[in-house]
Amino acid sequence: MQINTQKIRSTLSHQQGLSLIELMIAMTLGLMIVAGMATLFVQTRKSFTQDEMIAQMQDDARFAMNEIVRDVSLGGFWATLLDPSAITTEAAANLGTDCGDGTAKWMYLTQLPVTAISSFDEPGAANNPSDNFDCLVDVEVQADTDIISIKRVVGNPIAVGALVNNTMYLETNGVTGQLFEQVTARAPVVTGTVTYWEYRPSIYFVQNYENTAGDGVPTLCRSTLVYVVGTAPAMTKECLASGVEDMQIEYGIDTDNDGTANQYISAPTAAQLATLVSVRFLFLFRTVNSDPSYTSNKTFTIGNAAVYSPTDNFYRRVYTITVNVRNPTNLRTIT
Amino acid sequence: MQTTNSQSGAALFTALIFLVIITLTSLSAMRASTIGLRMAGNAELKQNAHHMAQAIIDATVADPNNTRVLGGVGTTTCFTGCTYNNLVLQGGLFAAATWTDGNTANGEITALTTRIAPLEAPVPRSIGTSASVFSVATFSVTGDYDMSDVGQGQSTIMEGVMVMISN
Repeated sequence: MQINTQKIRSTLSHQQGLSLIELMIAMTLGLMIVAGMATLFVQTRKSFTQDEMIAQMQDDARFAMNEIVRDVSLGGFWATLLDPSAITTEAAANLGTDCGDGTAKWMYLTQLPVTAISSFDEPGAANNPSDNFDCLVDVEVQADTDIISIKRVVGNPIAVGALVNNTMYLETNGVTGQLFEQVTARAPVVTGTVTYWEYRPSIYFVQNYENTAGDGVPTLCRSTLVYVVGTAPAMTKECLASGVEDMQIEYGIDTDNDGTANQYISAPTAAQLATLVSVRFLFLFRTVNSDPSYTSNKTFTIGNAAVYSPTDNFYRRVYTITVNVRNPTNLRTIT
Repeated sequence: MQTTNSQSGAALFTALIFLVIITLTSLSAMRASTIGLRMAGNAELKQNAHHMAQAIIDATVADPNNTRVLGGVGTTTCFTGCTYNNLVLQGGLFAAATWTDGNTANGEITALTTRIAPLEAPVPRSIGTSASVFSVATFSVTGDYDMSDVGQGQSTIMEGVMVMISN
């Protein structure tokens, strides 16, 4: 009993030693530690969000460039046939949605494997997207961006028994070729050792929305010939990457026939495109979501596009890639 | 007294909680960065392999002996196992001495030319020449660069080459 009382008394006397000053110091120190930790947390969180957004954008950019680079570098590929002017198109071939300058069945004209539209003006003015590619809607295409179309055959040669109805194929013997829409019991036109290849033209453009018109997320899309058994082949839109604000394209033209580009032109003529050896892409990507704690104060000058100085809350990056285009140019000859 | 005790404990406790959250966030950020770095690295290796394969083709085409018009359709030229096994890659890039991870014989590099049908075709109109005097032999040239055994890129490219022959 005596021992217990002493114990309580000694504990109490220990605790009674804390004065008001000590209490306030303890509180201040505690608050400083908590405040420091909170600041650190906020900073870490902010940096994490930023990293994540930029990583997402970079991933999108990588994917988009992969797709477009592969397609463009194989532009004008006609299998063993080296002269696209030797390709005829079967008169019976249907085309649900064409996408050209108004010429009938423009999508099946193989003479121009790569066509370019440079920085068309605002919708409604001259040089509209729809003047050159009539499946594009002027008000849906991001203003002052470039458009490129590529025509080629894809994949591996297909056995004649594996041809699918309502699909466009190129049949060629290495000298002449014909584009045709497969129908049951079709008689081949080209003779000799014939190979069959699927035809796939694409048009790459920047659309000013992602899912619904007006959502404000610019998106890289392509219009490509899609085949569905039972319906005519039709140009159909598919989107590749969101957050693409600008795509500028420069065309490397070979003027002295040595296989390397002598100049890069943003708006080449058809004659210049006949000596196309490389294509340079300049992309301006932005994050899909904005970060309110960040305000952009950068100025971008990409290709021949107008100077762009956004003051919003998106992170932006410019990506550039140059692609060798081996096919559309005049053939390289061995001497 | 009771207040003092619980307040000093709360500061420590709150700080520890924040620390744990920050650590978790950092770990997650680190993981994301590592994955991002790996993806970028892979993209680089892929590009590198692609350009190497393209270089192999250019080096193959640069030597006319690699696309000889002597044999018929199906005549091949490569390093081993072909009609002609004396394929030469022009230029110093593919010299064995510069090749640290094995040379052409180790299979990292494969080059192959095959003469394809038709045996002799008329010259395409896009070549500005007198078509009646020349015809062309067509070859497919395959360049393969494979460093996948050491965790690097692999790429195969096929190109067509025409050799003009006088009639």
